[in-house]
Amino acid sequence: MKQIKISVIILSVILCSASLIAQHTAITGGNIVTGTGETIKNGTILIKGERIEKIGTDLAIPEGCETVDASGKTIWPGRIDALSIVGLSEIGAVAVTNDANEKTSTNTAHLRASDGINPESAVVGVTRNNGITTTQVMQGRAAPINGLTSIINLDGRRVDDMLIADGTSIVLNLNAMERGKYPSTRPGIMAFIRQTLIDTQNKISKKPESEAELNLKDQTLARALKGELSVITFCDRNQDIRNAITLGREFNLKMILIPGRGWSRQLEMIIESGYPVLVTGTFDNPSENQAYDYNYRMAARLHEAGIPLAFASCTAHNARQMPEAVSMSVTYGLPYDAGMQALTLSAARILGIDKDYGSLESGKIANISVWSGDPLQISSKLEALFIKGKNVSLQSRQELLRDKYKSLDD
Amino acid sequence: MNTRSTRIILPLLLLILGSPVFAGDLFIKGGTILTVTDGVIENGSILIRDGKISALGTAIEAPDGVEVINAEGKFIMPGIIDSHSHLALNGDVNEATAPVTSQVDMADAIDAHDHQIYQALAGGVTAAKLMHGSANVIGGLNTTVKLKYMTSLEEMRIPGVRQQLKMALGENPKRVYGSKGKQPSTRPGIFATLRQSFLDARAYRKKWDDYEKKISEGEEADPPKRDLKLENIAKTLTGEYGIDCHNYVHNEIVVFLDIIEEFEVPYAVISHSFGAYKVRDRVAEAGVGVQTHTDWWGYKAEAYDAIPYAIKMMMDDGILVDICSDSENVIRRLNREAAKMLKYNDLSEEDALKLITINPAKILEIDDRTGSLETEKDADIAIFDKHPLDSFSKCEMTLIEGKVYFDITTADKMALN
Repeated sequence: MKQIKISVIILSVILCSASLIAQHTAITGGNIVTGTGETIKNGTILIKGERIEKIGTDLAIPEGCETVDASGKTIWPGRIDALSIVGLSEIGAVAVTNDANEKTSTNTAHLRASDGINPESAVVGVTRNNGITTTQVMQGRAAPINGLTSIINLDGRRVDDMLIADGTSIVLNLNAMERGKYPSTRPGIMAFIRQTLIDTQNKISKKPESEAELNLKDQTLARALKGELSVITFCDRNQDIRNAITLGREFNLKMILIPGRGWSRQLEMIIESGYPVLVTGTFDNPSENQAYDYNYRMAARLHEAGIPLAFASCTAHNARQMPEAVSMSVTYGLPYDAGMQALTLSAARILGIDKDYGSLESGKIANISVWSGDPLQISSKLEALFIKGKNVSLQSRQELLRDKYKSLDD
Repeated sequence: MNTRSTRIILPLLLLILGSPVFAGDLFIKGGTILTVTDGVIENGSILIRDGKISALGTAIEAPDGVEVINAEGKFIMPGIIDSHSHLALNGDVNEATAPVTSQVDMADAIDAHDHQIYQALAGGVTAAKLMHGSANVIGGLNTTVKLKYMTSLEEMRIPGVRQQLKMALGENPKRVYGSKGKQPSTRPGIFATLRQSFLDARAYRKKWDDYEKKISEGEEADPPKRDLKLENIAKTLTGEYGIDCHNYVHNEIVVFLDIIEEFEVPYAVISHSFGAYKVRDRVAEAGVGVQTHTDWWGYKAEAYDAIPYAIKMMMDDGILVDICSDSENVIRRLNREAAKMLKYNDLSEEDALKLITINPAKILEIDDRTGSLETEKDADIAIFDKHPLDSFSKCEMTLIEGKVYFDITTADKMALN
């Protein structure tokens, strides 16, 4: 047995070093928007294995290196959808194909998104075809307290190949009321969450040394109470935003806000809280008493107030449309660079993966998108995509269907 | 006057005072005119008289005393047309109480004061078909209107336009009635309902034909009993009404086309139709227009095979196709949906714009009066600050028949607070 293990290790080392040599790739000639505020014209990115080795102009290209000519193209970091259910939902209306939203309890903190992610979901390929390389998958938002999120790259045969970080956040939903069942009101939701957190607090304080006795729900919530997890909180009306911030302060939580349609009514409180924001609902119809462009201006207004931003699709099939919300936000006042950052480095920071992701810098993971033009122009085409240094296929299920029906003669 | 009505009326007065009243003459000066049917005119102008485009081009001058809208540096396009919308119906979308409710007319639900009309105008939309939903195999009559916000149904309605009777196949009627243990719970159930309805309508028509024949020959006869439900279906057989059929998968599209040919339906169009690209030879042969979406998919089983290449594949085979919203939210940015076509396909900017202007106008049979910038057509116009396919463009002004219904400079005042 031991011998087998050793041979496996030796074999892996050999394979690994062989693949490292083979995996030297250069992307040449493009306009590289690094995401750190710098644009390198006619630059080269040298990839070694999973990471960017060098980036700049006049780089020596190693012999035998695979080269991708990106002359005249625009190169961006891979884009990040800060919250989605990609991999958990194959067909929206077909229950058996859905593994998001465990609706059987008001507290599902014991669940992990990664346990349900299907690497072969058609949604994975479709989403990355709009330059999205990375997303944080939530288990759902149906309950007041929902399970752990998983941050993944959109490439890999097994979920463990895709995982960047597992269990980094939990999701609260202050609008997850159910009629006729506790909690059915906003005060009910708040009371439920408070009581649940207090119960966990009590358990930790009574037996600080034996956390192993805590059940899975308590273990997760204990980590949230210790600030080891982020707490992403869905709000809808302005009361929810106030309630989220109140909870955050009361329990000293590492809160990330999803403000919803009440955003402008609690702007001062959001600014004061210093909590980062995941932007969703850019395209939601404003109500009758709001300006027609009220939600188009949300990201711009939040950014102006100095709030760190990322964008979130919160869906599976429409995750690829998420960058359209950024384009709209830029049209209505968000500075272009802030929009770009929200899709890349700012999102990586909020997710806590900026050490390796979010910008094109030497040493970082090579998640790179190559575009025919400005990536914030909806009409621009994705020409190539690298995930962890691999030039991934852009043939999703949809391109296969296109090719199958290209000719009807067969 | 209470505060609430002041809030509504004051901004409206401001809007009216600040813009030409009652289809007065207007001169849009010096922009890039995207005619959509006849190329691009740089630095062109448009003269509007009596609500219509009286002249356009580079050589025309503003007549003395005419009000001028300065559009230098702007992009002028035909008002966007949405061939599939449930806007302004106050939620009265589905009379989901029986699989056949053809007696229903959506015109009876339309609220000209719905604020979402204004939100659509702010996206450059000037006309839309307001539709019954897809719960029933045969729903109600759709009504095509101009988005004349805060007027009335009568003002909004386009005179002489053929209404289209909504029909629906597939998952929605299956779910709505199947869940109640009623027919239809399967696609064959849907088509049985549809065929029987056409047969009943044909028999109903025959009774009336026989009666009218007798009367015209001077014979005495009692008129048959009028039945609105059958009357409206019968009118699709004579062509007085058209049909708009909601469908998704390729096999149900083929069956539907077979049925309307069997009953010699003079005018039909199909909606969503995500599987149409697989049978586009059959769709082209039937000559029906297709109202669909750029990149929606996967929200239900019948939408799983939708692809963002389908529209171009159908265009290449000569099918009349458009991009529609089916959404109070997407209707506000149909120009961006058209831009998305360029991401997934190689086609010209003019062809992309056609998908939201002249093509829906043709499908709704209003292309003789709107859908492109041509002389004698209604002055239904959207003015953008950049090219409308540019993702950073903003609609700044929307006119219907020469009257300004959206002006970005007064837009803030349209909110109630």
